[in-house]
Amino acid sequence: MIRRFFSLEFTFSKRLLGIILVVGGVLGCFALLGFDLIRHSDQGIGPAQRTAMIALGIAAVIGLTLIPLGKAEV
Amino acid sequence: MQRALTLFHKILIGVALIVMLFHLTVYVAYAANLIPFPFDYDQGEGFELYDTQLLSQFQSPYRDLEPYPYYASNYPPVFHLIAVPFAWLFGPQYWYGRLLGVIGTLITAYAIGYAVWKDGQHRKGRGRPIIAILAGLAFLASNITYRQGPLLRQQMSMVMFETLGVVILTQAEHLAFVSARKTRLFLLGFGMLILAGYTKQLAAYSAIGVLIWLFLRNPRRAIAWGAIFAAVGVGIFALLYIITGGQWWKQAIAANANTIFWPQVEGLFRLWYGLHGFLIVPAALLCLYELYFERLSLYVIWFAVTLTLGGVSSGTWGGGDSYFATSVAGLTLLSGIFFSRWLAGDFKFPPNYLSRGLRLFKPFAPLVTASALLVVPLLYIGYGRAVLKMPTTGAVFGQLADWWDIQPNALNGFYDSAGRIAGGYSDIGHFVTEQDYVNAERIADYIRTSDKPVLSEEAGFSFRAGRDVISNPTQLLNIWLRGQYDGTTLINQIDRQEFGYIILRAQFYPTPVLLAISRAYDTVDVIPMNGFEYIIKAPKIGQWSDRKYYLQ
Repeated sequence: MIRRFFSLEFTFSKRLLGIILVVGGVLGCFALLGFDLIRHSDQGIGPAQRTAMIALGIAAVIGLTLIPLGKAEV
Repeated sequence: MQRALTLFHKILIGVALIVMLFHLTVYVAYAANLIPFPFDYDQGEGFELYDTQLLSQFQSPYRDLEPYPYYASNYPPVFHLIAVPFAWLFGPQYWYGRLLGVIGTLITAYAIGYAVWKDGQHRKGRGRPIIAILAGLAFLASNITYRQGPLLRQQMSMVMFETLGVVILTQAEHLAFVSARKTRLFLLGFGMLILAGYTKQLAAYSAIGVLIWLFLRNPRRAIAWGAIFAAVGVGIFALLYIITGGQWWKQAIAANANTIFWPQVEGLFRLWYGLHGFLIVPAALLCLYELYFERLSLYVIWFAVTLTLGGVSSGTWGGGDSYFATSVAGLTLLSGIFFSRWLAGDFKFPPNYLSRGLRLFKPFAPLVTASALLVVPLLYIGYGRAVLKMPTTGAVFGQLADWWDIQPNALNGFYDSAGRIAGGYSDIGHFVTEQDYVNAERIADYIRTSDKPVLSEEAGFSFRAGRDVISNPTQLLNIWLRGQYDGTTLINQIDRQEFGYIILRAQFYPTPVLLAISRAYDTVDVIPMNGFEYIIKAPKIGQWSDRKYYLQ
């Protein structure tokens, strides 16, 4: 599989990109929330974190809509 | 019916062209007004000129800020290096740097037009020259391009290199087979990106966009090209680091890592949309189309990445609307391609769950395509109104302003549809007046008549008086905010009143320096220029007794 990934023929499919966006978006949101818990900040989620979480959420939603497109090339 | 529609289309396209040519006329008039002005118009221009002077004398502008003359540059050197031959020929002059900025915007506009035309050629064997011309002119018409273009700043040269790089790489990708020509084009495209990066650091966002696109197309190729690209980029970086004894890193990289002011980001995004909405929507539709029905082009990824990262960075200290300039190039390019394809009926919907939903509208497809004949020119006309900016005085512009009932809302009787509401949208774009020349010379006279060095917040007055350029206040502030500026030497020199005068405008010096100035110097004159007030300060009388008081 790794060999195929690094072959000259490999290209991302819409499905694979969709999965990456969903996984990245969800994990990213959890990471930001986790970071907030570890930091023990009294101020809660700041504007930068909120913006990043919105962006990751949008990425995850876009990812979900890409998954059904299957093998179509990105 | 079709003939009437075509005729109406031609009339509307003609109107759209007139609107865009009007914007070009305003741009040329602004450039012609500003280029000969021998002083700073946008604060910092003089320091870019000083960088050019230093490089023309084979000296580094990346220096230690602590000793006299307290100067260092925070920008990479490519723009200044391009201007070096002019410096050898003409000495320290503003005009050639500003001319380079204008030429940069014209080349970018040409590249955008070429990309739009080439897309039609590539897909249908026939490009649409008129849409290509409108797309290029739309870039020049943007308030952001207009304001930044004729400045002695490196921003628009960076956008030129970025756009050329992206257009060249796209053309290379269109070549069917791996060939020597394709490799040469890739090298050229990446070369442009390196030039962009060493023109201004912000071009890193374009490089990120290109590498993401290449990775999605083929990870192996992305890694190979990315490695070459990184090796060259890092090699130049290391060379600069060694040559400058580490000052390159401190002044040009570390000093520019600033925090983001989010309300400014939000305000500038609103402004960006308000000005360019007529073209943003078509550009966004093309992004969605490619995302769901075609392969993602480099243009789409470049636009998305530079808009997101550039937009967020616009909220940093030193940022502003100019950080959207690359995304303006992207949106005018993408909207041009969208219009070109729409007019050609060149949208295919391969079978997927979305196209099945769109099948309902298939009977309307000819109508939708025909509507482009009216909607496309109307969108350009609407865009032309949204980005309207012009002087409201003078024989021609004054008359037009009267006819259109346009009231000035910016400096020197200028009208700008962007207003002056959003933070980070600086007060530039207006024309300089004869009185500005006279007042600028009055300020320079203070330096000429002083037998001591003069600390000026802008370099232009020092150049004009033929005296030393002393200090770069914004860079002193950058380094001070990083906790890496001591400032004792400069503050002592101020306390000892060793400067004949101190000339301030925005008072960007670090707080301890400003405090020292207020301790040792008094305001003796306030001279307006370009709508700003320049404060002239002279040494306080009886300063030494005052100082003793402070030292207790």
